[in-house]
Amino acid sequence: MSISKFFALAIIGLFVVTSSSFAGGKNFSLNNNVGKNQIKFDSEAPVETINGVVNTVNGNFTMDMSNFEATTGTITLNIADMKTGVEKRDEHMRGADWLNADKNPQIKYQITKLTGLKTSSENGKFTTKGTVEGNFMLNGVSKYLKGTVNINYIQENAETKKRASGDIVNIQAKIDVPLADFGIKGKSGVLGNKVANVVKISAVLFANSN
Amino acid sequence: MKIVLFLISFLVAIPLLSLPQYQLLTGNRCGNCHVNHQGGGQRNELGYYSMADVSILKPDFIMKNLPESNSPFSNTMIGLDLRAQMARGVADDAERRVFPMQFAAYASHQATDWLTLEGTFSFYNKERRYPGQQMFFGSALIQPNLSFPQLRVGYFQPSIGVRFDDHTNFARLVPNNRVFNTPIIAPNYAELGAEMTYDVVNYKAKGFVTLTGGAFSTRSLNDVTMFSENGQLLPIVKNDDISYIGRIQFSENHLITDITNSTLGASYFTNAGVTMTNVFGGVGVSDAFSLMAEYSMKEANSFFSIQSTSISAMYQATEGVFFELRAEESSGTIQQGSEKVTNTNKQLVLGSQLFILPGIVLRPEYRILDTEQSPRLLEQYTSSRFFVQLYAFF
Repeated sequence: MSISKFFALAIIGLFVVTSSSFAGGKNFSLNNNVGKNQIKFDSEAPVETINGVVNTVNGNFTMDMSNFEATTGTITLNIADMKTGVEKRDEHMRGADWLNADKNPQIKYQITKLTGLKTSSENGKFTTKGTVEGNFMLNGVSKYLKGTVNINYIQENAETKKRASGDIVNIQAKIDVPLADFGIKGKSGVLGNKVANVVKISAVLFANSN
Repeated sequence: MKIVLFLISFLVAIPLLSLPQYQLLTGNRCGNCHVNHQGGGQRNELGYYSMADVSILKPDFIMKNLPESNSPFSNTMIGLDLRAQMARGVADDAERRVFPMQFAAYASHQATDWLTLEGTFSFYNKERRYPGQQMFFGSALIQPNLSFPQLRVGYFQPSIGVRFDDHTNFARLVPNNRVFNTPIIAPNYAELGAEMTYDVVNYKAKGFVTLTGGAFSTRSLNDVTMFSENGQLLPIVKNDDISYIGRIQFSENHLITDITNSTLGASYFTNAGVTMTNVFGGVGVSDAFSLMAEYSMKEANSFFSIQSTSISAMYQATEGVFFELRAEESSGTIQQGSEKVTNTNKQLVLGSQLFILPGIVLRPEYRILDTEQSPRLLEQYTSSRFFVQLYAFF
């Protein structure tokens, strides 16, 4: 091997090593052993408030504690798991006039980036607050939606190992979802009256790195 | 003379109203599912589609062909209640009969954003009409938007106490050995009048305090006659008087706990002849259980002074399957001819509501009824009877 080839391979090798060390972040999966994953959805209409909850949430994302802005991933829930406390209302919510679960059984939020972050760190724990941006997919429609996000990132230590392996992350996010933007008209006279035009979603998610 | 006056077959043309228990089982106030604030009668679109597909059996060919709404024309809704009953009177030799019980048709039209017109035709047999019962009634509902009070003007029933769907509820009856045939407030009682209803508190649309006030004529109530002190049958109220109604109700949906709904309220109905004070309350666990109670005091000059208590529990076993237990007692002094007597009635009702098909409900019931009078001027009775209603609604 010539010296020039040796240097060329060394440079490529160095690039690969540095890329994997600094640019990739870690892959995380939602894990109830870390904490209870839950998404709440609230409809505050003039004559009725509906508070719903989803206790089964799935998701994976990539996060780098040195570059939270580059976070990407997908959070998914099954409409069948959405509960409002009244069974008949849940059934209607899943119906064709509302969330249309037969045709589009899942709601997804595809995180594309975090922006406007203010980050601080202390003893291996990173905290950042800002805006989450991504594609919200509901009723077969995808819309770009922004929300607020608050992230606590803890590097693996003796305490975190008691819950799960790897680094652990807690995400608290809030997003407003205008139903009409997703083609949801509801039954005549109900939307805006007994069901809010904009449903407020708040998520508390826990994940560990794989 | 043997008392045979009380015959269950006299029960005709009874309106099926909203079930106040549903408020406690679903957290929806009456006005969420009905056009008018007090419930009963025309269901709105939410009321229609909330119940249209409730059924134990769900045959595909029916489920696929259910009307999507009760609004065949723009801004216009219609409704229908039909009932038949199989019953046997309390007399030992009474025969079990099947007879039509209700034919009621409703329509409402939202003329503008702030004005809705609603009307009901409820057929009755003139020979078996209850005093005060009306065949046609309707009103105009005026409300600029939901944050404003609602004004209701027309020919309709004042918002007295809880408007149960069962006309045999003691809260509106005179206790005697013809108990179901002697209502003070008849089913489909209506008067010319006006009522204003306003949510003075709307806490995050989960907790409400609602005030209602109104004034009505007394022409229909003038049909109700009772024995006066001199032994004459006289109307309990003059027909040129004015009745006033005041009502306050607190209701909440998942405000106090995440699974319960509750309500508490009182109404006061008065005119120169009759005063009715009703206090009511209830608590329910969504989709599971409700417990309701109503206490009523009724006085009419020298005609009667009556107190009644009703407690009812409902259990929702599964979709379209409800079981109900109701215990009631009513007692008080009334004029019986020229004598003043004390009547006491007790009733225990064990029933169920089985939504066998969409819009078709089977309502079997077992009733134990006991009447007593002191001094005993008329023959009294204790009866236990099995009834079945078949009810169709749209």
